[in-house]
Amino acid sequence: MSLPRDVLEAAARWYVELRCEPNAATRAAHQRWLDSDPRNQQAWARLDKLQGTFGQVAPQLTRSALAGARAKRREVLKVLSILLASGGAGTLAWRGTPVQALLADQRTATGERHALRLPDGSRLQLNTASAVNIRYSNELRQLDLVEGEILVETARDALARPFVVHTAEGSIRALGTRFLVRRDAGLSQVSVLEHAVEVRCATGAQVQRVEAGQRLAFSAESPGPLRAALPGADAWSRDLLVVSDWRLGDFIAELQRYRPGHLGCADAVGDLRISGAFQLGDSDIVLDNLTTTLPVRIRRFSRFWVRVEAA
Amino acid sequence: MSSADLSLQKAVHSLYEDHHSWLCGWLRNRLGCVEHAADLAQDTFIRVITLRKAAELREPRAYLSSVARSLMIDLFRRRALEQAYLEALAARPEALEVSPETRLQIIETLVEIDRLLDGLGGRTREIFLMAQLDGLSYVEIARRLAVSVTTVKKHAVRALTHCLLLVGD
Repeated sequence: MSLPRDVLEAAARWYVELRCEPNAATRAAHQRWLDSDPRNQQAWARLDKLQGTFGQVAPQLTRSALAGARAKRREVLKVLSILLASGGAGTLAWRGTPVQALLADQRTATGERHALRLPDGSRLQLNTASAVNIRYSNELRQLDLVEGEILVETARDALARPFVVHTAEGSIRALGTRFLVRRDAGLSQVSVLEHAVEVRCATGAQVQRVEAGQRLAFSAESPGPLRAALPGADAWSRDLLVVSDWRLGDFIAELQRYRPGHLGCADAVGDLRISGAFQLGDSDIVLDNLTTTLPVRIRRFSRFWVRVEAA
Repeated sequence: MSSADLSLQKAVHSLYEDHHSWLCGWLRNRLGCVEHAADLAQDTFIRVITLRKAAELREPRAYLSSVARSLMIDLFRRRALEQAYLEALAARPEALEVSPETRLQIIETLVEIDRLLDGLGGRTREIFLMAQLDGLSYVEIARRLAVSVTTVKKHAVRALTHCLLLVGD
């Protein structure tokens, strides 16, 4: 039965009144209201149901989830409204936006890591805050890295299909191999651990070969210079962050990837040097340990706002 | 089966034959993913069948794409909530083991709550959430927002009425 709005509004009013002044007189008046009409009881039952719905999830979780979803949605709807208004050509323009990340086949949240085996036996590992689409066809083994970082170990394919990782900046073709691909601020970077890969920028015809022990950052237009791969670049796949003679500022920026909220580093200590292997499982412990080896202190304004400063 | 049902079934069938692959392509162009496009095309036809409107469509493609569009938005909303929930969970100090069934149920609930709150004005929504989720008294909310208690109560009644209209029996 559909209840008229004024009955529901009366129920809402009673709810608010009882919350404000839960005294005997209010309760008695409320009871009289309930008894006076079965529709009032029905409206009150609906209020119960509403409270029951809210009661199913911890209030603060609901709070953060709703707020987080709204923030995401604002970004997504901005893109979506353009897309829905325009024709199909929009797809490329929204590569790398959160829309793609939300729809991706495999995703990890901040701080999460995930390993899986692909249909051909190849291994795929996702680092923190990463999103990948897996597109296997009869002709091609293809991964799309939407955001974040992956470690790929290709297996020999019975169908001898090429293995290619696509990013918004270009494509990486595996030549029997183990390699890392990472997306960061409009650049893709590949680090080769075994064998070699071939990189092709999205808008360039040039093919750049990257050998084991090398890394290459590239934009959609052009590849950067070949450099030595960073030792320990794949350590995250073993839940470690391994650095050798890094600036503390760079180290903190890297650690930030693994924790929600803000992690800052004061300029005064940014140039201190740091080396070592750190457990990624709990970045708070990593931060606390810094204070024993470096002249720094950790200021925690809240769980989500932490700053490394001079001791 | 009545003759009306039979003709509806025929209408659905020809709608499917004539427009299914077109709809898949339309969705693929927007989603950039073949599987999601196929799934959503399927859902679109299911929606059309349940609404029993297949026989009266004058511009089937315009209709199909508008249904598909609203399903796409539902999907985005759901994904956004799901991801935000997982992030909220990850940000909690204590480790929480949540079974896939419980997680699904929680996400259903969040989708429902989100639906109820949709369409509320920003101020009304915030006051409602402060009372409902933060457990603040109306007096405390009034103090924090620097408005009168009467105003807070007015917004609270408006928000509750809005939810009660949507929640159903």
